[in-house]
Amino acid sequence: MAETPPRDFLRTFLAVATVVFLACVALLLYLVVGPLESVLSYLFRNPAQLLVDPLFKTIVFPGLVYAGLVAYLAIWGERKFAAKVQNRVGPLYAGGLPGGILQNVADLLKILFKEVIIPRDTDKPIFILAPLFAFVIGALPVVLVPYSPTYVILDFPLGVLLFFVFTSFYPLVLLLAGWSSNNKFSFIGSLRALYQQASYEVPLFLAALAPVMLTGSFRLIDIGDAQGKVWFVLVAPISAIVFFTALLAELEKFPFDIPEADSELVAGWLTEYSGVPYLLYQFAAYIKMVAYAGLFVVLFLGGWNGFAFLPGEWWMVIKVALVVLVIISTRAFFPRIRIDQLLNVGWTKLIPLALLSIAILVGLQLLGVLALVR
Amino acid sequence: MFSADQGIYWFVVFAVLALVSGLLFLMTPMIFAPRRRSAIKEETFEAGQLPPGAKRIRFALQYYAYLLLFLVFDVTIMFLFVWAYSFSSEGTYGFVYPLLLILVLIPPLIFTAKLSKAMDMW
Amino acid sequence: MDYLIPIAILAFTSLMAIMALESRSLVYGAISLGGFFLGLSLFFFYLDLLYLAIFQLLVYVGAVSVLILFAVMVIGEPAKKVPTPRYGGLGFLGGLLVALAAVFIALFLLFSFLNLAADTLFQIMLYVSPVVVLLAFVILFIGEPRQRSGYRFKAFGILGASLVFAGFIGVISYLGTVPSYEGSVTFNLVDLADSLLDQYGLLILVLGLLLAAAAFGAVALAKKEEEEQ
Repeated sequence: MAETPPRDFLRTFLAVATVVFLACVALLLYLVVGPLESVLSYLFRNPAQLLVDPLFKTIVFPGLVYAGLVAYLAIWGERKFAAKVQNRVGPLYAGGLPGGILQNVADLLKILFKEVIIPRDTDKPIFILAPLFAFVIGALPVVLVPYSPTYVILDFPLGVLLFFVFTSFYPLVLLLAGWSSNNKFSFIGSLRALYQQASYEVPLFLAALAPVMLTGSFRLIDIGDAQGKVWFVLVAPISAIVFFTALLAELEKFPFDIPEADSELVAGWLTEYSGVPYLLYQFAAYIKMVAYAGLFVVLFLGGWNGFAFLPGEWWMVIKVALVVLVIISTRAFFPRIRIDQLLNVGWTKLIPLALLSIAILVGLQLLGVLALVR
Repeated sequence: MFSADQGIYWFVVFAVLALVSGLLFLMTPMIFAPRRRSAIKEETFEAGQLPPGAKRIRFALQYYAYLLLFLVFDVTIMFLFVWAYSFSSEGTYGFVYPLLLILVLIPPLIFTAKLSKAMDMW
Repeated sequence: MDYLIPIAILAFTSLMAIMALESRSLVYGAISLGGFFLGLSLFFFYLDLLYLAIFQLLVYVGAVSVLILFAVMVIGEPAKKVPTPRYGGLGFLGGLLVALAAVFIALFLLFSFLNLAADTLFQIMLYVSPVVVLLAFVILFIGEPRQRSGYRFKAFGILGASLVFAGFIGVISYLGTVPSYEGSVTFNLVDLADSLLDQYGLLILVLGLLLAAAAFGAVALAKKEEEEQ
């Protein structure tokens, strides 16, 4: 490939990106203007209607604003929690608000104005586009997670499976990112990340079989509703544990941190990324975490079923917050395990455990116990 | 077919919104950040203890077998999902085939696990 | 404009397929292949075959594309590139004609399958297509003298494909109509589950054995490569 200076590439990319950006904004306006008008029309007559309007659902809750907010708090929470456990203080000064909550805003503003460095001899279109794809693919699962039978953006009949489709897209982006960095270390890091992600998809899917078996449907709303009597984590605890472990691996959280290992291979497949592309990867990771936490709550922790003094959506928010808290606490508590230990555990321990749980469920069905649960 | 009261409509809206915000993030530094190119900045980063040359890639390939196995299991899991779907309404005769299917796949799994350990070059 | 969505999906899928074949860089070709699988799944979504679409996405895009991309990336670009004929005027024209013919035929088949009105315009396109394809064949066969061998190869490929198409259309004309589904094409996972477990259970098991054998073989072959090195 002819070597174009990065500045020229950036200029052409900027030009193309601006065109695409304007086209997307136009498309967005076209799609949204109708619902927006109807929202504004009843906003003053009947404001309560706003809360169930699909536009509101997509953008505010449980859509972009909510997911972004939770991701933001999760980033802050992770740094603060790890700091406290390690007897440090963590983010403290930025913005004057207590606890350094605005630290992330400061970081964001700083990163937005950093120079974009594209290494020499890389495949520049892929290098720049990979973070974008990672961000979009990481954000999309949020639409599938229902926060109550009414608060869902996309109610797909095969919701569980579609969620896993997004899971299986991510390794592609990983490969492209590592390879396009033109850096042997990055490439090896991305290969190892690929092994990790691909290997742990199998226990993830197998563990998700349990809620599907108990409900008889792939629809996430049905699965949530079916836990009115008892949460599935009590019926299939092994599956829940396997699912959560595989979830940690898919999110590249400790102890499965090998792809981003700070002390090995620099930053793994992210090595050559700095500034905004790096930011996009981090956003992708944290928004993915929000979506996955939501999925875990719906599949195993009873979803929106709670005591009646709070509406279902509130229960969901509380549970998701707790799950996110547990996920971020892993950074403080767990060491990192080696890639071969990681793969070994995934294939030889988690998969049999998941199958065991399924076998137990089959046994319970034969004994007729499961009818009590449904 | 594609109207504002369908979920897929808002899925597209959400996807476009995500794309737009991603593009915004990408374009901002391209417009506003300083561009001071230098040869050293664009060098790829090389540090660490892996041996140089062709042996590096070989290290990374030793778990390729797991990827192959992943493909096999992916297909099997799709079938298992179908089975799980009909689990609650199925009688008791529907357990044999999935069970046999899984049993049949266990030997390759063990084989691959042993193999990957044997190629362990750390 | 009811036809807009299937036409858009068709255009995207065909474009991805052509890019997969014609890309200079193997990696772009592999990515385009993934895009092609995605396009196929969009077709399945459009036809309301949700489970099949998801299966396609999960297995093909999620696993097969990853494996192919992995292999292409690790092996790297070939040291000696096979000279692909550059598309000078004649070659470009020939390729364009072929693509046009393929799209016509595909559209006709799509509309017949969906029982949409394959009206006169499309029928004309259908009958014009063989002429177009023959023309493309002739053009590519003549080609530019410098790169004739590459063109000839493609020309024979096109001839073969068009013979297959012609046979297909001949069968349809003989039968009188495009065989289409009796009953609905709507999504019914329960029936699928029942038939998979009941009628085809043994077949699935045999396929599982085949998968296991393939897994054994692939892993064993991979190991052998390592040892030989």
